[in-house]
Amino acid sequence: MMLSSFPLNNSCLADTGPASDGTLTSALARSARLFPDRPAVWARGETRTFDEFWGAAGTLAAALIDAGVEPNDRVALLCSRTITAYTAIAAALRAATTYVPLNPRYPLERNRSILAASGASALIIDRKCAALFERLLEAPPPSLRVILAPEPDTRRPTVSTLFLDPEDLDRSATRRAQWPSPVAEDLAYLLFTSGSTGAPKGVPITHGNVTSYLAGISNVAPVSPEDRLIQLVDLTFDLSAHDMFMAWTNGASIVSVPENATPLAPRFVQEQQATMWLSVPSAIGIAHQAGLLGPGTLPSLRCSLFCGEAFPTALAQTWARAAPNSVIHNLYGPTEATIAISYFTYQPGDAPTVLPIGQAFEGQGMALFDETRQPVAPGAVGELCLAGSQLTRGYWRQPKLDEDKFLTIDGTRWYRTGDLGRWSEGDGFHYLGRIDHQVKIRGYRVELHEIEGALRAATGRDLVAVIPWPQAVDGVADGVVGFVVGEPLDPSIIRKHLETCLPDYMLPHSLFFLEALPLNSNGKIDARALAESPALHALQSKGRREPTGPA
Amino acid sequence: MNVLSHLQEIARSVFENEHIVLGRESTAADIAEWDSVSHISLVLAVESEFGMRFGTAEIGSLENVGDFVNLIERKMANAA
Repeated sequence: MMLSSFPLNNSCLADTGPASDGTLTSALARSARLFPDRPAVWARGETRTFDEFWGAAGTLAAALIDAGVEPNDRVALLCSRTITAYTAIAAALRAATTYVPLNPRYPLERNRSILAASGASALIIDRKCAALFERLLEAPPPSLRVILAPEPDTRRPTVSTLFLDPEDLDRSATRRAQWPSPVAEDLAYLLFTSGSTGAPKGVPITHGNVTSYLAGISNVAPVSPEDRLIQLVDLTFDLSAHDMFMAWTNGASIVSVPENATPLAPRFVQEQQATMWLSVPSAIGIAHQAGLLGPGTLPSLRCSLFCGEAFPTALAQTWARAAPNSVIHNLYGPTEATIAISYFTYQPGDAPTVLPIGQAFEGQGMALFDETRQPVAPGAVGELCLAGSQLTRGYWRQPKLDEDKFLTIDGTRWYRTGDLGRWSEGDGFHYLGRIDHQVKIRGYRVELHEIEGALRAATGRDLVAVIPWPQAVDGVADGVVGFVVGEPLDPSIIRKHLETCLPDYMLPHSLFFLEALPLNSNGKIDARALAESPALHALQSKGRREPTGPA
Repeated sequence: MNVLSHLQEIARSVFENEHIVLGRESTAADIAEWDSVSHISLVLAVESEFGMRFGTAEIGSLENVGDFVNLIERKMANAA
């Protein structure tokens, strides 16, 4: 068995989840019982204690159940990071349902597509997103039966509606004699990530997946009820699940940075005296460039976690100076393996230019395979594959994709990450970039094929290509540029079209019109030749923020 | 001092675009150069120019340029 070839702590795949029933619902109820008066959440100037928070979640859950929402239904959320959003997540779990976050910053079409693909029976909208409500539901998916929204809408007879402002629910508390009881195998959340077919793909995560993750990360970065965990990512990014569930299962509090102020997060740490941080590593560079990370500026932090991108050692050094009382861990893991599955602890003086991703959490599996599905020798490069109790059961209603991405070898189920890695004595695993057509932009995983599909629709041209630019390093890019074959079109019109279906981090920052796309010897589009085109280099020398235009 | 026109000058400098025109209803979505990264530069440049400091909750509550102007004017009045 290949696992034994690596002298790491991944030789046993035992479930290390908590001893209770292994559900988040029980763990949250326990915190509400043990820490009723401690703060559970701070968002946009409002605080809720565990008692208030769990009580409001119960009221909202009761409203969902009374309206006909059943256990294992999906409950979609169109919310900013508000008290309503957090209450709705806890309510979905309390009603034994699965929460599906939409994103008010996504284009309408992307939210519509996620709402339809999830088969959600209920939708909760907070007051900040009320303006998006009408357009989102111009053609409500047939599965949708219940809407909780600030503004009643009586013009939608196809949706059996319960119009109840989720922010006013505490005025009409509902008591229930019996609550549905989720089990560890039930889904806690369903997240959609960029998909290669042009549509987002769903990754369902069970309560058991999350509690396994919480057990693993707790061995590395434990949380106590005194902790204040900063939340600065959108609810559609699974790092948000770490903040919420690490806090709420330990009697600790999350403090949520308002969306508009996310780049000012170091200042928010100071204001809130936050003790724990989790972000993508590039957040350090942005804050440092803005002069927000002077030596000793973040003394309240005792633990800092970074995940989602390659983590340059220079950024870790910058952070260590700004947060001198904090340990720093580099986490690694795709959404399919629930937030993160491995860690490496930074030590001052670490020599590599990029931090290793280290070793798997206790009880989880990590190995490197070659193209013939054989384990590679220590030191050789292979595809990072993951196993254990954190793995998703498979993609949401996409069995063909499951066949491609999940392998069973000697009775163990492995997820093929599409990431290249290498193992070395002492450091453990190293991340070396992407195998396939995927890049990370601002921590988001992006399938370039999805952008190309949107570009075809926007231009009406079949021959298009999208590449990361400036060129991706270790699978991470600042942005992308697009190429279209044919006579130049108005870039501003194309951009407006793309903005209706792609989030801002997926929008090409420049478009080029070519007579033909360069092809390699296999007849495939030669991305390397595109990256070497003089027009792109001219763009780089002038700076990335040039207006788009034909070349 | 007209705060809106002063803010517009700062925005032109930060976003390196002399053609930017800000109105009270303008939002980041109206300005191509105004993304989450350049937003921080704008906020810090305004702090420096007006000699004030914003809390993250104040910045987080801004919906458009008019809100930003109101916030600056309020802070100026409080400091006076």
